[in-house]
Amino acid sequence: MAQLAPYLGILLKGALVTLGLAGLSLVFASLIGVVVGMVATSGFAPARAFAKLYVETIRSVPLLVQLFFVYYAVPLLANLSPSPYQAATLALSVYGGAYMVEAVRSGIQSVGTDQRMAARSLGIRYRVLMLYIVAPQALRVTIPAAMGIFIDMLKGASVTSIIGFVELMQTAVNIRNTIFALSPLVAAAVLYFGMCFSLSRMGAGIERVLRYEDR
Amino acid sequence: MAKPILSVEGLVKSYGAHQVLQGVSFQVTMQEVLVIIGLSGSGKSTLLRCINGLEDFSAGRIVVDGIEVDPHRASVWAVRQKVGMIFQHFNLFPHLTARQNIELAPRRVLGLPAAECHARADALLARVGLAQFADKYPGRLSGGQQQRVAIARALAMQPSVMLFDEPTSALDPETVGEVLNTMKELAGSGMTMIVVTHELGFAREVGNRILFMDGGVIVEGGAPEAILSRPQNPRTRQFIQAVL
Amino acid sequence: MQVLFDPGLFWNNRAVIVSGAEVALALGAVSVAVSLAFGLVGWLLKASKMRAFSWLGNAYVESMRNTPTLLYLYLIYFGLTEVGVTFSPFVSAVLALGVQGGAYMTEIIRGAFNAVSEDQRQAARALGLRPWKSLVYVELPQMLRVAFPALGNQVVSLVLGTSLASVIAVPELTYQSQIIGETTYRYFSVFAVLAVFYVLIVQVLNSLWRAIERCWFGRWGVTV
Repeated sequence: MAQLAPYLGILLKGALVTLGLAGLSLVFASLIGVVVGMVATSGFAPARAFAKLYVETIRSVPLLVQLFFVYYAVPLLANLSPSPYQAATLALSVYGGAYMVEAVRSGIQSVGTDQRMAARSLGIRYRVLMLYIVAPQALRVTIPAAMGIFIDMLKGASVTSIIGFVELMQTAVNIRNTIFALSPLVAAAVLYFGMCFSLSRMGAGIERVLRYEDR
Repeated sequence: MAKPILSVEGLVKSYGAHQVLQGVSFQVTMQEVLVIIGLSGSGKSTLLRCINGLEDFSAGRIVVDGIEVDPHRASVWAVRQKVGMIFQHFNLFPHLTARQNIELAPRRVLGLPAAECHARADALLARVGLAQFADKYPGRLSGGQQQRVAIARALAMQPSVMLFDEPTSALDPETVGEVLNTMKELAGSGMTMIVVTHELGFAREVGNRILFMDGGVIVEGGAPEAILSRPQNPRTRQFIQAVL
Repeated sequence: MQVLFDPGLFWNNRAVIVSGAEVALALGAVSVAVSLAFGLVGWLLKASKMRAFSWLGNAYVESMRNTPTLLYLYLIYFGLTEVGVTFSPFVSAVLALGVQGGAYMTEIIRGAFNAVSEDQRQAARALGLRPWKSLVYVELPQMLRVAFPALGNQVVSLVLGTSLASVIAVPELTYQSQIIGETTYRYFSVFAVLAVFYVLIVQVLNSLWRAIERCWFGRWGVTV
């Protein structure tokens, strides 16, 4: 176990890299979620179908395969060659995006149609409706869901180690291949647990706060 | 006075700080139909649940057909075999057909062979008038039909006493009659019954004795005609007047 | 100009692809079984009246839900060799997927158990059915109905998770596709079709699950 001591610093750095990757991807995923989520709840049937297709496809394919697709296959299309970091971010964003679409959609749908009818009869237009009436209430459902998705993305980021991106998982594996002990993997487990568990506690707290605003 | 088949002495039960039963005592003789009436919260259902050991109690003694009821001892299982219970919400097992509902206990508790359980179930279904519904699932039966299956299910164990916890309170008015008729037939065949109900017509027609409960005690008890037409106690009078 | 999509590729490699699919499904099936076993143990622990056991159950569920599957794959396949234990790639994958998946199974079982109304248990007890018999003949069938959709999602999740086993060289679908890709450089064709394969598997699994649900539980009618 003491063999691990000199490497603790790099492990922590790896954890930060994982956080950064997941964080940035979450931002993109949220953007996708909002845009496609609104499309999914729009009145335009082909748009809804497209949104559904996107979500169903992404959720039916393993993240690893999506990652491989972005890293190995897409470059053949566009004559680009993304770095592992870029491929990882893109794949994770698209992956998280599908789940965010569902989160946004449930959020929007949690605001009952009677409110929408009331707003329309008051003469409120779509943009104002969405921004001031639907969004604040939708967020109460979407934000807790987004926390869960963020945790899933943190765990999913470990898969990016396979295309050579150096984050926590890869760091742990590298250390293990150097000192041949169990400890780096165990340490990585503790770090993943630490990050995810704190986030889930935070999410529970946020959910409680959001619910208090109700009364 | 015939020997009692069931006796309750000084029954006390509390839910936390609230005393639901504050010293209830009575006896039931064989083939007697005892009707218990009273407002919600008077402890009637809790009383029934104590009798077959579904609820624990703080003080008092209950003896059923010679066995003392103690939920903490293994003997309570013997009590449950002798006591049949009918619930307000029927509580049929949704994943079993009517016949299978009735067969389950004889098969798995008494260990009777499948053929005998099958025959017993069919006979009981015929007795409650539901022979053609044997293979139907509870989800497809009306409330009245479900309750009659529940009665058949309890009868399959050949109990000495049947407890009815507001058997018709959850039913549509049209189906109340069919269940009451079944209960009337049951009483006529000599079953010992304790019935908690609001159906005062049934109490008058079928009951041998009525107990009026209020606030966890038995306020008054006597023959149906006496209680319903000439209640002595003011609380009883208040209740009867409000309901009738 | 590279041929973007080469259907001949699949015909030529069909044997390997089929065997990959078989391994993936076998891996998925065994992992589901193992995760059910762990899930049951986890639930019994969590539901235990003894604090030590319930704490253990909680710790199991929380730790599995907050750590990635890949970690367990490495831990079991590579890590355990440091303490003298070696498992084959297939067994390591089954254990990793099973132990991790078991935590989710625990929660599903727990939710289903709590969903069965107390009335049902009381009715069973009133008939003289002791706790174990009540569980087997009355509660489990109803728990199964409640849990069925969630179980279906878990099965799909595990089947998708089998792709991770490619990392420790289990010859399932993703692994075989990688090999084909590396030898032919037709990455786009290979991974596009791989994705389609998974989508199809998921669609079939979902349809099958819904059909079983309708067939088995549909007869019950509207239940309480």
